[in-house]
Amino acid sequence: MPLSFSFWGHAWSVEWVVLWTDALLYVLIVAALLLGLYIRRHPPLLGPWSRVARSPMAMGAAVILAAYAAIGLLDSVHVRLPIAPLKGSTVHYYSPELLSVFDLIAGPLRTHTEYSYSAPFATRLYTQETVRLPGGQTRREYPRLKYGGAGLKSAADLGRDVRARVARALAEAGAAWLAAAAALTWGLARRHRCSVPQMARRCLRGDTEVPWRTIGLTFGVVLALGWSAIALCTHYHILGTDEVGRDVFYLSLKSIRTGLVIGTVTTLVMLPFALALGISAGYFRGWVDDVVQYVYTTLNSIPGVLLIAASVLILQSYMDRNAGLYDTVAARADMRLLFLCLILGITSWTGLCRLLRGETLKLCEADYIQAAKAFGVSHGRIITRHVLPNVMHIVLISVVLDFSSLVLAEAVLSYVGVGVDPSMISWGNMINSARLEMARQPVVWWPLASAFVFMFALVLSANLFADVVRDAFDPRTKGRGGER
Amino acid sequence: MSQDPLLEVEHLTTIVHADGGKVHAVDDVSFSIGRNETFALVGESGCGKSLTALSLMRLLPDAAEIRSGSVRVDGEDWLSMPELRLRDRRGGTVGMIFQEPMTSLNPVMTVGRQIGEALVRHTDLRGKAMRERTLDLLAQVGIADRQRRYGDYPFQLSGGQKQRVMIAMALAARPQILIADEPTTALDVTIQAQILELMRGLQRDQRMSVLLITHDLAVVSEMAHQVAVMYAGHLVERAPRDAFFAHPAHPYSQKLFAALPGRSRRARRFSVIKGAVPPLNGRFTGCRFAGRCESAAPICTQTAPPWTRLEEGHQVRCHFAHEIQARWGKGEAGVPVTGEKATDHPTQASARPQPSELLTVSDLKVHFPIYKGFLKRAQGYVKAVDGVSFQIQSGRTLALVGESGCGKTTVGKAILRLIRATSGEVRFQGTSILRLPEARLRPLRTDLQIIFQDPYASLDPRMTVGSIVEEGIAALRSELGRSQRAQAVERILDQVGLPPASEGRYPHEFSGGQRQRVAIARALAVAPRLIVCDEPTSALDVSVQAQILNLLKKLQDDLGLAYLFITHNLAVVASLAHEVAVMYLGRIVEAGSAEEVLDSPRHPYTQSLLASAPVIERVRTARSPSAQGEMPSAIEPPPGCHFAPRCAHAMPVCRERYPGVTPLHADHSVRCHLWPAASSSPNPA
Repeated sequence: MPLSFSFWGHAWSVEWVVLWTDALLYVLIVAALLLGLYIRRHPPLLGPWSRVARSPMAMGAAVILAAYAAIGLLDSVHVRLPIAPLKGSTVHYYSPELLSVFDLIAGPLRTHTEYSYSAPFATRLYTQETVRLPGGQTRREYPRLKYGGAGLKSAADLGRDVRARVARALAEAGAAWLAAAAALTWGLARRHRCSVPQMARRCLRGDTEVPWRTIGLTFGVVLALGWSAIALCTHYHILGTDEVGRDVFYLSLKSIRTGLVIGTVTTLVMLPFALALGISAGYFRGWVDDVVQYVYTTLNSIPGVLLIAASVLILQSYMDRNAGLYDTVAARADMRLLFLCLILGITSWTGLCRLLRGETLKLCEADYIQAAKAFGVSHGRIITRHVLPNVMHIVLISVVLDFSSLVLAEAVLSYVGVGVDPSMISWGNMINSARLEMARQPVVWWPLASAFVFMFALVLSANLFADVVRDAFDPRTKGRGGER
Repeated sequence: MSQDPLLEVEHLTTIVHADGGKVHAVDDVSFSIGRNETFALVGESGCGKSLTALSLMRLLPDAAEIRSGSVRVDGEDWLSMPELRLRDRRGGTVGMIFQEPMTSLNPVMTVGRQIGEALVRHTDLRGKAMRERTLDLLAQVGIADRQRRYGDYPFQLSGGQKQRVMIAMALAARPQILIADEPTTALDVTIQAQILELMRGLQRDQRMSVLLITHDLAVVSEMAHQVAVMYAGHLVERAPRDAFFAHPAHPYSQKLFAALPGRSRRARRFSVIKGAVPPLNGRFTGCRFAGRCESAAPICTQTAPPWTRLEEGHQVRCHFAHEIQARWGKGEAGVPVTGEKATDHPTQASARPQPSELLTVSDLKVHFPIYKGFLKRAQGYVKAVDGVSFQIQSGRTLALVGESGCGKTTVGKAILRLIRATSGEVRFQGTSILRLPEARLRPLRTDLQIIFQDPYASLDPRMTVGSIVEEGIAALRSELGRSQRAQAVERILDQVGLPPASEGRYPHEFSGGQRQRVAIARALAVAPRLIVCDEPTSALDVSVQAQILNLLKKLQDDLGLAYLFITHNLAVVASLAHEVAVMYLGRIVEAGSAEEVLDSPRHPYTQSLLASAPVIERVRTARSPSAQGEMPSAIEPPPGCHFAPRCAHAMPVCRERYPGVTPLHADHSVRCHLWPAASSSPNPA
């Protein structure tokens, strides 16, 4: 259950709540950092990664992934705000609503809810309402939005106002980009011991080991888009609003965390199964191999969606009967997300397990493992010292490749109705509600389009990155320098 | 040399783009091949000989590029020819066969169709005529039962037969030149003899020219008319065969000869070439061999030596060519046997304690079950090792010799319990080890160690050399602390001749020979009494092989190690072994002291092994016939003596029962019906 401790500010205090998926994400980050440090100190492991770092495509994709990760992480630090204490009471009560740091930053986005659908950059609702005129008559009209374009005198000013804001945002973004680029160039120049203009010229020509030019360009594009969106989103619903008037831009950003959790925590669940069972099947053979093979062939022959649907439905009815276990709606939704990850993990380890079994079978014939056996080295040591490091590239490649398919799986499962909790904001739920939106007349297209664009950008950059990682770790391409 | 050369290569330069910059893999290579002659290009691995052949064919990998030079085949310039026309010439004018017959044939096409493909590309033959021609070709390359083989898939053929099919494909369009890139390196010695004989016959009958690329001087001696020696991307010597073998002129060529193991070098240290081939990514100012040459003078590092002409057709790139030539007259032998005299003669064991029995193997059997059918019941057994007995005494070397698939490696692994033996007994210093529980076996593991064949596969690529060597100490000598272990590792690395800084480095930073030293260090680390050496030099170049053999000998002298030396290479056996056991299809057919077995072999198989091994002869002589056919399968061995189907002396009794052991002397025994146990008088063979 959530750990909680409080920060005492002079005027306000919040309760920090660690949800289960938050905790797992933190663990993952720490593990990734430790792994990074370990790799830095082991040249043979560093080799393929430096090939990744030299690839412009991978580094461009990495910038976009980093932007997603930053939003997802900000969205994974949860707090409960205090409610103003009753007069004379010293006990602090906290709101039942769980907010993330991202929610606090994006405060206006969260609170600017309209009555119902409105199109991107609209100043009026998308649906007609019956408005009571001062004279007592009623009229059907498209009412003005409460927040979207509220500062405008007339709808005609919209274009001019948007242009002015974008221009200002781009100028600011440009300045910020230049500052960042200058700092980077200065840092690089110090490292390579050359003058700053020299370094700048090398970067511009693309004559650097790490493709700084591509990184800079991608960063610039992300910065320009992001800055403009931030400048506009407080005054307009840049991607429209949904049925209950929530800002679609906000929903799309909130969905990032759900996608990241599904893509990464599932891996964390799956890895121990795949590693332990795959390697022991390949190493010990005999009855161990038979049992493991039996389990994964059986598991594989049950349709995955069926298994997931059954598990989710059981879990759902359990949670409905024991509603008192969770003190907030968010905690309950989070529990369901965690179980979804668990179930996805349990159904998806078979592929990697099979790969690892095969690779271990091959490795065990290798002379260096025979030599270790001739020394009487224990099985545990052989597995951890010889087998595990030599199958790690397969694990890595499959984890990176699986990420994008898991993000997509979430969307499909939520669409079918067995995915994350309906109260949880996710691309899958957005797409699920688009079922009705696409069927109505006139069509409401923007929630679906937004979910699609955000998901597409994440999955595409993850796939591009994974592609380069796979090439870099592929022993057949080892001899070749970089890509051509 | 013929007046009108068929293939002329002039100043060919090929570079390879690699991580570390440009590598001049082939640098200013010129030679010509006359009609109807065999031209051998000799060199160690990495010297650029295969790239030379690929450059001729314009079949270079993406990373390589021909920088300059010209290649003229039959008067046509190949380097400027459009790709479309060149495609007709490849396979048409010039045929090519590769080293690895296992991977050069398409596994899902029948033999007939693969040869037919070449015929369709280069001839007008179709349908029945094409089939006739294919069968003709199969007959030419000596494939028995060709009607059936026509429809067979490559997996139904043995290695030798595959290489024959490859040759048939190369011959399909009646090429004028055949390029053979290490055509027999992957084959067993008896099969190698057959393939070489076939190639010699074809070259003579079809009046072809052959460009033979090889690392094996003995193969050159048997095949070539002209010889060129390549070193570090450069030709260093060109000569007619007889002149070359009479007087190799370049110091590198001389060293290559001196490094060859052979019977004449028994008990001597091999002369080794110190150092390694220089990296090819820089430019050379002087002679490329200067850094490793014993007679290098200042001039050698300053200017590159020009070609010096010694006699008709014999040219050499050395500043001191004439001085070397002057020495020829002074009674110095042509093929120099310049190995230094060993300081400690291994046969002079008088100084050491009486050798005691170390390892006794009796009636060892290893059978692998073959599972078939729905319920996976064992339907039969591969009798990989079928009743093998021998003894090894401390400080001595027993060589286990045989062709691939005879079960010799299985014997080694079964002794170390890396493979479960089916039955039999292995006693190490009186302790029977086959049934010992793992916990009681562990103390014995310090005494028994193994060195593997392939130094690239036997070291974990993700561990530093230091931790590789330390692993055994950590596992078996747990009483040692961390610093003691580090000291031990340092001492052992020094003992095997590795630089002290190698501890923190990874295997991929080392050359093949150095890696094999690491593997030896790993085995030595636990202070064993017996080391099973499983073909420890067969993946190495001749000069490196000599270094490793010297090291093994030195370690034996210093530490009193015993070796079980598993090999297919008789020349290595002769130089290292005290006792020899010859294995054929899971059984030892002849055993005895090295002198006895190698000098007066009694079993027909041993005789044919010795006859098949190519040897360097100054003058070509007629050879005794080697074994016909190939080794049968161990699943269904032939009834009676396993060797009978290939034996020239087979009698009816040979096909009925397996011969018993006939002791000939105290230290020589044989299993052959030619030597019946009752009569001790030798049967004339």
